[in-house]
Amino acid sequence: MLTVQIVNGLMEGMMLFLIASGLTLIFGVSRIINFAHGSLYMLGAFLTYQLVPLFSDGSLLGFAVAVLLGAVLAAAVGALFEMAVLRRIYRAPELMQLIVTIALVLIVRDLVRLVWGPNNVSVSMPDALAGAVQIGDSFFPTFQFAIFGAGLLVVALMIAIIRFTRAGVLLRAATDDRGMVALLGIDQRRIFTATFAAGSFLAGLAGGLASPFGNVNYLLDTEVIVAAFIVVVIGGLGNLYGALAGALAVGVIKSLGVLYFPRLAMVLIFLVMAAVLLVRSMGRRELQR
Amino acid sequence: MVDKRFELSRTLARAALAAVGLAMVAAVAAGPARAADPIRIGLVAGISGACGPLVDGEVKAVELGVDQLNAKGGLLGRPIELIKRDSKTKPDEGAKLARELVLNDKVDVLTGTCSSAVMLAVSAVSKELKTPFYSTIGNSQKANIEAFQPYFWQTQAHALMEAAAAAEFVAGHADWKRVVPMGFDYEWGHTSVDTFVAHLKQLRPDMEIADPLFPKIGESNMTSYITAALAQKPDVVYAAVFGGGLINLIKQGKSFGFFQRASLVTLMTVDTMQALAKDMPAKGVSGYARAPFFELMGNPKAKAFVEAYRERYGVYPDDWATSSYDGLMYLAAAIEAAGGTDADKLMAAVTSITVHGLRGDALKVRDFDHLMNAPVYVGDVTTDSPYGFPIMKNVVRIDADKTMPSKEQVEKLRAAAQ
Amino acid sequence: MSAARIDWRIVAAGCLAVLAAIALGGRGGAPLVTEMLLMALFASSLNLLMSYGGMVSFGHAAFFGLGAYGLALAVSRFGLPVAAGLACGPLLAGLLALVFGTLCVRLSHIYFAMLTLACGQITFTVLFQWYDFTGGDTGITGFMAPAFGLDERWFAVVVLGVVVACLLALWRVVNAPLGITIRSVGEDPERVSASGLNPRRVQLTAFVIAGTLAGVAGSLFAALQGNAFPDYAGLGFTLDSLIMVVLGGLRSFGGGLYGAVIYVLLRNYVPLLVTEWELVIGVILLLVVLWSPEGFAGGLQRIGRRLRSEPRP
Repeated sequence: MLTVQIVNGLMEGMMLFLIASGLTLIFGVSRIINFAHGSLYMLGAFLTYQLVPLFSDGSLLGFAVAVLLGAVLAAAVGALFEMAVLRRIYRAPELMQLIVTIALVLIVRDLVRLVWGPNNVSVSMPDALAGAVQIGDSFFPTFQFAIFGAGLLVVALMIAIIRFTRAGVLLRAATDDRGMVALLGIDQRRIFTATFAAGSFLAGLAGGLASPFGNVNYLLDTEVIVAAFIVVVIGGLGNLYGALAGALAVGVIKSLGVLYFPRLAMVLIFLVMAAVLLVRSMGRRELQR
Repeated sequence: MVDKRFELSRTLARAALAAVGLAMVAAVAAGPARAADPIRIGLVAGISGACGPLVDGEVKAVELGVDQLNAKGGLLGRPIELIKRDSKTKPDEGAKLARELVLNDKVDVLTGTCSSAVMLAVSAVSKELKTPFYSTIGNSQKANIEAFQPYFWQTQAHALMEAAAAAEFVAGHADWKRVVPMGFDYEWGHTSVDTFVAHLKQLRPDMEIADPLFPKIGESNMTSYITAALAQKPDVVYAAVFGGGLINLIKQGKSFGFFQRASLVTLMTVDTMQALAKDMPAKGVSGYARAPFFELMGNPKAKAFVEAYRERYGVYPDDWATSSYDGLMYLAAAIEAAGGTDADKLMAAVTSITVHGLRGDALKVRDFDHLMNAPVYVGDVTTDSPYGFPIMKNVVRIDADKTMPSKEQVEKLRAAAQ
Repeated sequence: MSAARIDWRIVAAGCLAVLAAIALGGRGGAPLVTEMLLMALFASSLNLLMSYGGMVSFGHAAFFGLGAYGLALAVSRFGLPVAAGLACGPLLAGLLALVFGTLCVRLSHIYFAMLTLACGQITFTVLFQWYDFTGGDTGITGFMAPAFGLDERWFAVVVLGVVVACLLALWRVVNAPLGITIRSVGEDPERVSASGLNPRRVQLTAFVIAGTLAGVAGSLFAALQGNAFPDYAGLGFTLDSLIMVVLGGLRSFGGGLYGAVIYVLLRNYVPLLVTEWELVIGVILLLVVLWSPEGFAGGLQRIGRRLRSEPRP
């Protein structure tokens, strides 16, 4: 029972990581708290719903193509938003950036309703992932293993890009010291656009990948965004490895909470979040001394 | 030779005469128009926000019904005017809109609420401003019991009745020995689970009932609850969940092989079956429902409604649509019986008439809690369906006399709440 | 921000305008005016934190909601008269602002904001789940007649009085030595700390004042409705308050006021015109921010400057 819940928690955690990775990336580089991250996730899910029938009749490859295409479109929306709106207000107070992302939430939600209606829709599971794997006398969905694999792949790719490519060097430089990038004579705006596109791609990817595992409707954005914030905060804002650890921890805590503190399930995660923030602040003060 | 000034004054005189004439015509026209002052219905629906997916069918059905009534000349010779407002699924917003509708727009009746909170908030406004208000989606029993007020009525089975019907259904399966109850972690979910458990204990003392599980409302990841439920090795899981959260439970449950090992009994509405379509498990899902159109097709009134709805919107009505239409027609009958929209006369009519509706030929609202004797339909979900989406088979109609709390019970609950 | 004196002419003109709106709106329109006034107080309380204290809260609705529940619980569970309940609301909000604030001011910037988010969500969840005490999602209803059973217009007048008094008090605070310290902590905590003051204590004071005022707004909101629901402490109200402050204009005392008037009007009237009201409000938000990143107040000041430097021919 305990192991089942832990394994299950890890699986759920990886799903959370996929959602949170793009958010933490964008925050790391641009310091923008992107409330619209959940909207891009939702957009990815709906685009997958639209595209799957074109590419897949239950085939895994077709599903993957649909998800990737949906993620690319979400990235395009994110990049467009950055160029058309955010770019004009980087000098304004940080809060302004927050408010325009909230505006984007409102806009995307209604556009999604206009296009796909207010009702729930369902994306079919690719046949290859529909079954369950038996371990001992417990069953685990094949799909969750696939998601776990996809999550690891995303981590590996992100590390590879950050470590070994020029874009990654710039990204790290931008995260650590924005001024330095400007000194190097590199157009900071392009870095921001690229980061926003990449973060949106990850949001769209997460939405598409998760879509067969549950319901899709225009309320997904709010469901996702708070969970993503929690993970990013627990992991340390802007920290990719932290987000991974935070996501897995949140998944396991939630899963075990169902067993041991069923009445506290909803509060528990926020208590952990608050505790992590406070403990970290104490640590920082000690460092300062 | 005619004096031009005279000519001019004659033209003026003629114009003046014409104006007087026109005014008189207008006055005459306005006379009957005032007599045919429209009957105004204020629809406060959660068009945006959490209720959006449920309310869509309701709004469509009410608009259809109002148009149909107007095409037949309205009620008592008065046209019906529907004024639609978006409560955004927020109780404060719903109450504010209800108040504006009554005070500014002079509506005669309020309806449309979906979430329990908005329903209770609007019910308080209805009580204060003495404006009749009925609910066709939100079904918290609080509005009938603790927070009952004389201008409210409920046109469907409330939470206690639905849970009792589910217990009847589960108890009827002799091969089910072990049940895990589950409910969304809010008032409706807890009430449903408590009532289900209490009812089942009476009907089947032999049944093992595990500790209930309470996922948060609309939970996107149900897996921890699925594994926790399966660990109890149940024959059946009773789940007081619906909408998006239910779709999550079914799709994720399917990946766990849940339906090969246990059955699920849940609130199964047409919109959920339409959304899941071919992703619905072929077996293992049973449901209780409020107004499944496919089960009502034998009733000519219901059949006509389904056909008109399809013609206008191109889809089959979900339960929310069907019961909202039925509720509207009950109101229409009450207005005709009352001979107007005077609040007290209307309420007296509401509790004294018997209506042949879509869900039966003897729908009525009893007087001490203003609850309709609405049936609950239980059956097994099947993908073998002529409609292109799953429906239920072996459907049994559980009549309200089996599920409605008695007057003594209601009084006891009211006293306990004091 | 600079003039510390209260310009009574502006106050009187504002009050007259509100009274005219109440008279014109009639019984049906008065609740909208009341809502606007309460949102103005709620947003102004957040504005104290944001514009003056440099603290961005993602959980300010917690205190609004606690204000509402303070009243509702005092009356329904403890049998206190409504008048006493009205004092309990702000008190409960202020008390929890003290508790949450003590924790939150240990952090700064985005970490502060995230801890307020956690505190806000914890408050919401407790209200949502503690059925036996708070009534859960179905809230507390029927503990008092909405608006004390007063005519909607009279209630709006009462609220106008309370809100004006609170805003005047807030103006005094902002321009008193305390307010100047709050502002300098907002600008540069380290400098303040070097001058021997404890910046955290200053921030906590601001936090408690803001929480209490939000509680006043919440209590009166519950009185207006005659009910209390967990939504009042939820993310929706928090986002509304942020939007109002930023829309109205940061770095301006009137920011919360302007923002509340504009936003409440938009939220009330746009849905009457289009089903896609969120889309329209989102686009308007974008346009306002692009037009004037200092919000409405900033835009007004800019127009004023332009008019003064370029007199019409």
